[in-house]
Amino acid sequence: MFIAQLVIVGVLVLALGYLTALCIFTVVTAVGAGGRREEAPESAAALAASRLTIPVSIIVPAGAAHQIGKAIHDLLDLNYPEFEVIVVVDKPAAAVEAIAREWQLEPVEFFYRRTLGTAPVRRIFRSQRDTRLIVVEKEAAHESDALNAGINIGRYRFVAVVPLDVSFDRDALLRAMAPALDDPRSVVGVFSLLEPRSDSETAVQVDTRFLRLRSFRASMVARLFHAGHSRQVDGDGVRLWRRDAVVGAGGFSTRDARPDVAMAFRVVSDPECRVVCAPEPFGRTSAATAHSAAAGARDRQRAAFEVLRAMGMSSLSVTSRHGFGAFLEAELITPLAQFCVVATSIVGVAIGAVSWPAALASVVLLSFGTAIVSAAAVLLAGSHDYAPKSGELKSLLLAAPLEVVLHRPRLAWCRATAVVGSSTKV
Amino acid sequence: MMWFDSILFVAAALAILAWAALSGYILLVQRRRDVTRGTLESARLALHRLGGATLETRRRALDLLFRHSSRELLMRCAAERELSPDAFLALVSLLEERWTLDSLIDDAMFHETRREKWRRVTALRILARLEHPRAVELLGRAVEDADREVVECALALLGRSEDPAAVERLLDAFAAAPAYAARIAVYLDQSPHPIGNQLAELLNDERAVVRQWAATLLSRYPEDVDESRLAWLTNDVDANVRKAAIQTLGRVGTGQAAACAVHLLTDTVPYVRAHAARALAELGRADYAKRLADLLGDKDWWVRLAARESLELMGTEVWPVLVKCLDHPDKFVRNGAAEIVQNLGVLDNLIMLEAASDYPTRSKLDMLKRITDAGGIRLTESLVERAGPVVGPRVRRLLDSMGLERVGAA
Repeated sequence: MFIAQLVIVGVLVLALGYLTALCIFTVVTAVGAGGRREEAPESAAALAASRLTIPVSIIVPAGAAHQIGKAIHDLLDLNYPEFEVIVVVDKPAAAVEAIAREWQLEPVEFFYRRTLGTAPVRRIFRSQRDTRLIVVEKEAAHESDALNAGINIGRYRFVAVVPLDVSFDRDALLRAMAPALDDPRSVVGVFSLLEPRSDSETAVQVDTRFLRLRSFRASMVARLFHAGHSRQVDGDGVRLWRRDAVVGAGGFSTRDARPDVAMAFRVVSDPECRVVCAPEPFGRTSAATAHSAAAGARDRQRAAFEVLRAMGMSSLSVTSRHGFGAFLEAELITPLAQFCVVATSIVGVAIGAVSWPAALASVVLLSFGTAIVSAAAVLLAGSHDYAPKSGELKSLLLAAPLEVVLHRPRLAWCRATAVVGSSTKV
Repeated sequence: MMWFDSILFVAAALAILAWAALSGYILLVQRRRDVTRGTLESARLALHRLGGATLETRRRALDLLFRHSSRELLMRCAAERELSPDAFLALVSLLEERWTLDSLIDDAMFHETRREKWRRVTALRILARLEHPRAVELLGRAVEDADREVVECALALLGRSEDPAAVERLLDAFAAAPAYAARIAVYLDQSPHPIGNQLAELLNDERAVVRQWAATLLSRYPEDVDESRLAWLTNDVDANVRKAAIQTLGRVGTGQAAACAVHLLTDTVPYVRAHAARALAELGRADYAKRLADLLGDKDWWVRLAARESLELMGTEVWPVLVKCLDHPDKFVRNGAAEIVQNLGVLDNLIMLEAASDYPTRSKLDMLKRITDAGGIRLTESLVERAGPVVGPRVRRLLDSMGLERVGAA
């Protein structure tokens, strides 16, 4: 019994020590970096007007969605010198009928390279109104299949995967492409965050404050550590890839829980290659529902195990292991440490190793530690357009300590089911 | 374990205190920001109202508004990019009266802390807009800084400057800081000053990245292009330099350009071959269509695409070459040729004419069959769809009569 008590206390001390060190490191780094500047990057106008700016193929995996007209309009309105928009829809495509007249879609034969295997492509339309728009109608399949089809058809060196239901300003693509424009030789992937929209209807139904805090934390990681290798997967985002690297990696897999996460590791085949985070967000997306946030947590956990398994089997090159530590920290070690704090507190009280006030204190420590990190992230958001305004700011800061108690249990449950699922597979 | 409990209680209390302190600090910062925004808005309104007033009147109005404001706030207002020239001058005049422009120069000189960094960037913005005699010098100094954000800001300001000295600084930075070469190239490419001569000199630079960008940027200055020098660079050891050289030769070249492009059609690096193909099209050398058509079967997709697009750009002149490709043993070549025929509009014209005729010509039908065979069934499907509901059925009948698979489209 004594040994069990010792183990419980030891695990609790270790977990709390690790989380405290992580919290202090993050907060010190964030406070050191300070609030975001308000000004848009000076270079935006020059890049937008430059013939030297790298062209981009934007892929929109629309699936069976019907309302794609607005997304197409917004994308074609982007302030970027050269790009094309490839919308991939599932057959039968009601979406095509809906936009055919407005965009004067005309079916054309188009001999694209089928370098990546996909479900059969049925028809390809090119807009007569704006020749930058291509609509691909293919047999329904996994989203990865749509991405592979878009990559097959895309003409340009970089591809951007933009989900539907995203709102953004005209410079969004310039912001997202900034790291690649600076270093096109080594940047093979860019992750540009999407902030949750706080004014959507879902915000009324579901308390989005915790999701906003999660998004700020993701932004903080992107901003503080974007210059190096990054495998950030938390938060919604737009991914940009260098086409040749994706093709070299065999395209997106339909078997992976998060194909983008797996790709972020597989795409790095050269010591010079990097996957980075754009320091500025791309735009906004609908605030996730509690259900979709939980599903996202489960998928990320599965993805973490898939990557871990791949590493174990040495199927990933040595170079792709850059950033693996940060990925493990975010997706496995920290959630595990948080789980350990709660679990050992409960078990400790049950077997008498820990007094109930001490167990309560550890949960309080965990809650406020998380809240401090969230507050640092809010500080770092500064006065940027996407930062919370005064009213929301107070509500976010007050809600932050409750996240561990009210929001995390559901996510922890989803992660646990993913762990069980993964171990069953093994 | 009392010691453990005590540590936990203290740690929890500290965490609560830290959270409260950080939250309070954030709210305080937010309040300051709100005040700043309010002052900025008031200043904008006041200046808008005093649209036609003299500088002195505007300055006096601002004096009242900014009476209790810090220098940083005033600097931030003056650095606003959307500010009208009149408003900018009024704010700078106020700044000069209270703290002198020398203080701005001091700020722009160097920084140590993060706060100083943003003050430096702001000061650089103001001085650059003011076209201060020392602005270019200070921007040049900032370009050499270790901080990426300072460098990027300085490069952008130099890029926007109309001072010829700014271009010199950019060229210096171009050669001295290859890490920023891509960004500097964007600014140099938009420079209002002619820099062809300087770029031509950089073609001899020992660094490949500098040679590459110099060759790329030279395409804006055809009169400064030494074609033989660029032709020499098409044999450079660095593939990016070869690519840049042939790109520019394609745009501005005359005598040797086509020969260089043809030579690079067999380069070992795919993107060099692709750019060589595009260069031939830009030079309008349809006489080399046969060489380009060979690339329709290249092992690399980008080269095949470039060949296709280049042949398309050459127009209907390449038709005889394409006809031969329709029976090529390589599927890629046949497909590519059929697509070019489609995109040139030849196929549509041919099929519409024959579909409209009660007695289609045998030779034209043979040609149509060769094209559709080479293009595959989806080429005919899209053809029927494009024909629309009236002509479509006739086109379909015609395709049927050619023994092609019936399609259900349209």
